[in-house]
Amino acid sequence: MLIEEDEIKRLCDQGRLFRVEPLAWRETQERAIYVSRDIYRFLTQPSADPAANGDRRKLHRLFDRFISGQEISAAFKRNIKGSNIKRLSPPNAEVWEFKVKARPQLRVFGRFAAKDLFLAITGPVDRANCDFQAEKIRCQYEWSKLLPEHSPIHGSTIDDYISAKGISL
Amino acid sequence: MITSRQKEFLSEILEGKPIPEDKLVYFRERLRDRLHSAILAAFQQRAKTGFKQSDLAERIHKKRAQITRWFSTTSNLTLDSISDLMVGLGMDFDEFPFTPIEKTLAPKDRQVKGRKAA
Repeated sequence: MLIEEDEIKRLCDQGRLFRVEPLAWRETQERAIYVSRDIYRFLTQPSADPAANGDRRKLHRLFDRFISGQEISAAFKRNIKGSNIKRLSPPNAEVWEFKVKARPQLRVFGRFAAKDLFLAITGPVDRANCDFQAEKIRCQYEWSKLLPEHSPIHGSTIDDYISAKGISL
Repeated sequence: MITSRQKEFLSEILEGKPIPEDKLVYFRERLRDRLHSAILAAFQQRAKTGFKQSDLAERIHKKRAQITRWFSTTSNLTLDSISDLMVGLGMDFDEFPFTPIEKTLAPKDRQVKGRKAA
């Protein structure tokens, strides 16, 4: 069943999802990202640790890049390092990761609710200590709690997930 | 329209105060994004005429895999690699306009009008 806008709004009203507001004031909003409470806290609450503050800005910038409709590189069919986002294996699980290439290399996991609409629901976690299999299951579980009657979209090309400027690697 | 969160984000910059390190990090990433997007757009333009990543690699004495890495994410870009890619794509800055940040806060149509009037 397709996810209705009202459904997302309801989850936002309940404080279970939060829309990411871009920090980039000059960029248009071509796509949307909603995040879990934990990710929202990470993005918006300053940390006493300066390095963690830098990391949260890097993640926010990656989200802003997605939202503003800029080029997003995606490891879609091949296992290529160095992309902005990646669809994890197996493809039919439809779990994607957003990747911050820094130290630590942060990962957030989520699913496409619709074309150009991403729900980031678990993370951020440090790639070095990440159990990807467990994260994938956790992401699917959290999704089922949020949207029990809905499936993420499933596509065969990057254009099924991102309109324009999706670069499949 | 600039939001209150965005205004807060820019507060130290606009008020001439010391800028927190995490905000500097954001702006570094943003600059990389902008240059990366411009380079990809230039490549896509050249690609319409049959120009390939391997052609670009050959022009600037790199392996094709290196070009793919640079194209796939902004994180490996340096000033040197940006320069090499620009030259390899036959690009140059027409001019180097730095705009005072205050002038970028106005809605875009006003910015354009202001620029034309100047």
